[in-house]
Amino acid sequence: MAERPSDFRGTLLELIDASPEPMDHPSPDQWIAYQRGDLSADDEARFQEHLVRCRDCFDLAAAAADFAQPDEKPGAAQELETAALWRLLRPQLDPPPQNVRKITDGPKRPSRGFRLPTRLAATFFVALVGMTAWNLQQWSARKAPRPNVPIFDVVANQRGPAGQELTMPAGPQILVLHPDPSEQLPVYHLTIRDATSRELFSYKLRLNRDLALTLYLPAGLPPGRYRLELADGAGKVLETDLLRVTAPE
Amino acid sequence: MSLGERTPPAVDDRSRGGPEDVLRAVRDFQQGADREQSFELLFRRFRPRVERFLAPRVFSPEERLDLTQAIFLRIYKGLEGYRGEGSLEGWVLHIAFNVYRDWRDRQPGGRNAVPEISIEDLPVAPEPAPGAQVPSPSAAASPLDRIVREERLEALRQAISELAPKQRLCVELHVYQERTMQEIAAALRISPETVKAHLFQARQRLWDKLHTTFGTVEF
Repeated sequence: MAERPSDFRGTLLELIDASPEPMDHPSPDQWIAYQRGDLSADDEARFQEHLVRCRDCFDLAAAAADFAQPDEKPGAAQELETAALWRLLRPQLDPPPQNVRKITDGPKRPSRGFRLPTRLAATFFVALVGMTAWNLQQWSARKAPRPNVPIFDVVANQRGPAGQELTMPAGPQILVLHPDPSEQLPVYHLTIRDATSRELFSYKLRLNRDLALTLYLPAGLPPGRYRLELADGAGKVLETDLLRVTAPE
Repeated sequence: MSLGERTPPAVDDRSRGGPEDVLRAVRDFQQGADREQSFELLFRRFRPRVERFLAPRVFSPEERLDLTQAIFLRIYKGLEGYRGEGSLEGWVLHIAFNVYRDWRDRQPGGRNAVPEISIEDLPVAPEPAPGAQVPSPSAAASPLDRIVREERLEALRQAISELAPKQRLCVELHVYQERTMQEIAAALRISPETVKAHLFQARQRLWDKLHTTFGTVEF
């Protein structure tokens, strides 16, 4: 029967595969000891048996042979080469960790469990500040006079303890009061009272360049009867006007 | 210094530091005392060994330079965690070997691509005949084939066990691991000529015992 050359090789591979593994993988130190001949004869034989079956250990053992050789005194050329390589390597070394520690030394960072509520509180605070700013902006916008808001002049002949009743519809209004020009005061107090004399609003007003007092009522007054009291800085009532606010048509 | 006298190239005495100096450098490095200087001593100490290790395995000088730097950078990063459970040179060997192995396995062909062998040195394998079927163990299903296979295994086991231990190791490393004589010599700490002699004698003995069973004994 003609035999193929691979039969012998294949059978040998099968035979080695079927044989038991003699030992665990030796460490690099053990391979160096093996290469230096520091092992007992038994250990050396076991290591060599292991070499047959383990490719990685074979490569490591071969590397250990290069490491196990005694170092010769380096020549000048080798020293120069080593120095050049060190110059290449040195810039790549990381900053020493202890220097980093010095920079980052400080209070220990709180744990994650502690940081979560703090983060939530911070988020809530930022949202609160934002909403407050937005509300103030809206309030300012509301306080600012709007275009085409009706202007009601409260003229001199309508004033007096029983002056004429001023009528105006509900909604945003601008009231322009003209105090007695003979008694110009630096500050006037205007109080709006309802029919029961209950004080609803009180304003501190100053004369403008037309010698008039301007008051903007952005929301206006609800329908009803009111009394406007203009007083001086000491609270002495100077004039009173009656105001009737009618429901819008 | 007289005129004309030249200063020799600077050779740092620390490069010849003994084992105590190396251990002190490791300790200083770990304690953060003059880390760069401590590491430079380790670099000068182990660089020749790393070079000896890489030289026969990595043929391109540029790649060897890159690998050397990669090895020492990894040593630098890991040195703080070195606890002295094994020897420092074993630890350095481990790192160097792992860096080299990662590089080798990334090469085209992986581990089988290195070392490079000239094409003239490759043995010429016989071309399989067209249409020839390669037998596999599972294909040998007939009782007769099984018996023949068992007989061959037993004959080979017997013949191999009768070889001298070093002869057997040489054969197994040559056939199973497909190692060269130089590699086997380095692993078994014998000369390549001894390996060659072991293989020759083993081939003779196995031929005597097995040529009737296998027809030919080639490895």
